[in-house]
Amino acid sequence: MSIADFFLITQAIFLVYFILLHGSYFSLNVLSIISIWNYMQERSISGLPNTYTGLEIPVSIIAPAYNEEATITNSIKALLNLNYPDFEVIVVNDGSSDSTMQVLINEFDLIIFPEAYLSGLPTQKIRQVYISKKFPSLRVLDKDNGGKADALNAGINVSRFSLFCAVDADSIIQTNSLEKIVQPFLEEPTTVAVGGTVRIANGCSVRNGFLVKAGLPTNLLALFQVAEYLRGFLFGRLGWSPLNALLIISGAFGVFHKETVVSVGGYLTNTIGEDMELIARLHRLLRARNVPYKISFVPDPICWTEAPEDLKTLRNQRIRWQRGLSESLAKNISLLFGKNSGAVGWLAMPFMLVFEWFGPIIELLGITLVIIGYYAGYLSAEVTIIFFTVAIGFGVLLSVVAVLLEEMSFHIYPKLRYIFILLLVAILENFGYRQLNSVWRLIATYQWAMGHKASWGEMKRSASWTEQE
Amino acid sequence: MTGTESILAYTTNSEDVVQIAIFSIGMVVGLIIIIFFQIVILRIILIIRNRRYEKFINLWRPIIMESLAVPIDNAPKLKPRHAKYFMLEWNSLYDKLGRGSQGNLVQFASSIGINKYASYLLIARQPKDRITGIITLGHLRITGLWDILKAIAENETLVLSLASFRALLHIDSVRALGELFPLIIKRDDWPISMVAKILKEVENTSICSYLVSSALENDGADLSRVIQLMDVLQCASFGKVFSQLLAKEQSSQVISLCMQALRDPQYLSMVKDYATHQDAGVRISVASALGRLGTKQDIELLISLLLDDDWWVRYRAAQSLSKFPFVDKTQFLEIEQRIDNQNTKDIMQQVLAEWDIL
Repeated sequence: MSIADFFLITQAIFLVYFILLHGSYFSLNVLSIISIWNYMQERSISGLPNTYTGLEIPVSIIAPAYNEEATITNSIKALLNLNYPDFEVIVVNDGSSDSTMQVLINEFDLIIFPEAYLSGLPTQKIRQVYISKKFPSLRVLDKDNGGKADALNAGINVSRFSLFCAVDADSIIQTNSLEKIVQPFLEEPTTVAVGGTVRIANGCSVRNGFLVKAGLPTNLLALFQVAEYLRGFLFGRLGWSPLNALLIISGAFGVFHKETVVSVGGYLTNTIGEDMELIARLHRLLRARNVPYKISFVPDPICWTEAPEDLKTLRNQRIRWQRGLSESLAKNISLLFGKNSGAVGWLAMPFMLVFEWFGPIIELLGITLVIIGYYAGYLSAEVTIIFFTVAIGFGVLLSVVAVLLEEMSFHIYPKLRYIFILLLVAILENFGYRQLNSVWRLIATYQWAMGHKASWGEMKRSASWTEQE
Repeated sequence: MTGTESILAYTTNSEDVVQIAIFSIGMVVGLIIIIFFQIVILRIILIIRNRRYEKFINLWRPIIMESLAVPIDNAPKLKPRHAKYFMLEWNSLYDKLGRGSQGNLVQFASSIGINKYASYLLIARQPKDRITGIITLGHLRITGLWDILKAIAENETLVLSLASFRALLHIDSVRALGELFPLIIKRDDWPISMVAKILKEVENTSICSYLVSSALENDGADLSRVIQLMDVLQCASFGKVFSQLLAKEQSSQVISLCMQALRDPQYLSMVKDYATHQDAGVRISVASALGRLGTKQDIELLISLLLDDDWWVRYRAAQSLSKFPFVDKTQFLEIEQRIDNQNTKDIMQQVLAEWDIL
């Protein structure tokens, strides 16, 4: 085969890949637009009395914390003030090396509590359990460091209610979010997990741990992530949910049926993407057991999280996500095209594998080959320009549709100026940022394939939201 | 060139493919521009709506608030474009007020003809408008559209049907229960907590008699739903249901729910019969029920439950003992001393700590 043939064949492969990729995205977009329209129509007005009956399902909120001394007080106060009739908050101090534990003891008047918990899931040693004298619904577990998954498992062991909500201790949850995210469990008793939307808190105004005004960050990297999160949550997840094929529920905010999670073994501690792995395993094992179940996504309950504003932290985060994806897919690969795998095994899993996991390889390979092909004279300037324009054009289209979905639904960003900024960012992120992400993801895939040790890395906090008095 | 090569050459470098690619680019750019303008137009519409709403609120909120206290004779004419805003504002205030203080509000809304606008909304295209109309009609207690509302309650999707059911209960709770009670039992897509909210709001004592009949007549109802509703509504007649239901063989779930709902100590002996039931869920409910209804004589039974195989039974039994008026901390500690099982001792220490804090 000549070099020219090679270029011809690879171009044909890219063409097919490209059509499949954008065909899939287009289908997801259509599903998302329908879902969000229905959701907004039926859920924007409550036709019910605004009271509680005692039949609401109580929830244990589990917040793993590692070196969160600066933000933990406000975060926990906010959790304790959520609008929900019956819940407890369990903070798991996962062997922090800073003064997180001391801050908690001082701020919440913690005293040692002789918890006789059920140790259903194996975890690192629990040093002590505390309870707050000020807020008896708050308990704090002080344990040896074992990672986020281990901390969540410890929290599950001491939780008292049938549903648990996994949140990041540094996230900001809207006051009514818990009420909304529990709704699918009431409406569909087979529901085992529900995820909510996560948005970027950088540039927002926060008071006492609650978000009071949404805004956009001034940092370009954080701005790119705003557009990215809109895309990821508003059509990435919303599209899969009606098919019961959702493969990711963010570790920052998700509610789970405890007994089901324990029955599949809880969070895996030897993976870095424990949130996605758990969902994939729930699908795999519940399908294998022939148990009817539903895993849903609700676009409305919103959790705000701080996005990295420097390249190093962002790089670490993206490498971690891609490694998490690789591990989750590898560990649950039997779900793929399984006899009883349904939409998740026949659509979502192949999509994740081909477009999310393998995507960076194809994308970067495509760019490299087109450039080489052009300079070596195998591709005309016309074809080269068309290749780049189509690739970037479709990327822009996807981001712009995500902004449209936001505008059709929640209008989180109040000013017209913000919409223009978002649209501009939706275009700009396709010139360099997306490709940079692909490079990081490729590195992550390589590291995973080579068996390099994964680590969480350090999250550099910039307190990039405005704390109001 | 071979066949394959010529196909490849065609699909990658031919004029036709280039044309298609250029056409795609045109489409994509066109779509982006359309969506861009759509977003801007949506935002402009939103801004106009918000301004209109602000104007409405500035004018009408004081009037609506005033109508609570005194009849308003000189209210301005409600513009049709303000009708939906009025309904939203008025419904929200109505729901915040207690029963008995909504009369003036209803009279005022009727006087400005809001029922006409609410009726139009029943056939609106958008579900959220229909919901607004349905809620308003219920609050206004308009009887003329009963059959339409009933059809919505029977046939429509969850949110619309529940809003309609609620409206019918507002309009005439006796008639609504007579005609629609079977829906409460049959529509298993209606979450029990939402149904309970609606029924609790009505405060009609006849609901309990319907629930009792349904539970005892074995009409195919989901007994779990019926018992939970009786529990929420605190039906005084539950004891009768309890004894008759448990006289027959029932599922563990039904037995547990019966135990949770029971508030009448005269059936205590029946509760105790289930202390050795094979299902841990039932034994947990027994341990809790004993804490609510038990007497001094039941201390020994609770102590035996402290040694149950199931952790939650042991924990509930310890909690029940701690809530017993006949057991003080010293006695509780004495019981703890008598127990050999370390895990139970730990549980009792935990309950003791909770005793001090909670």
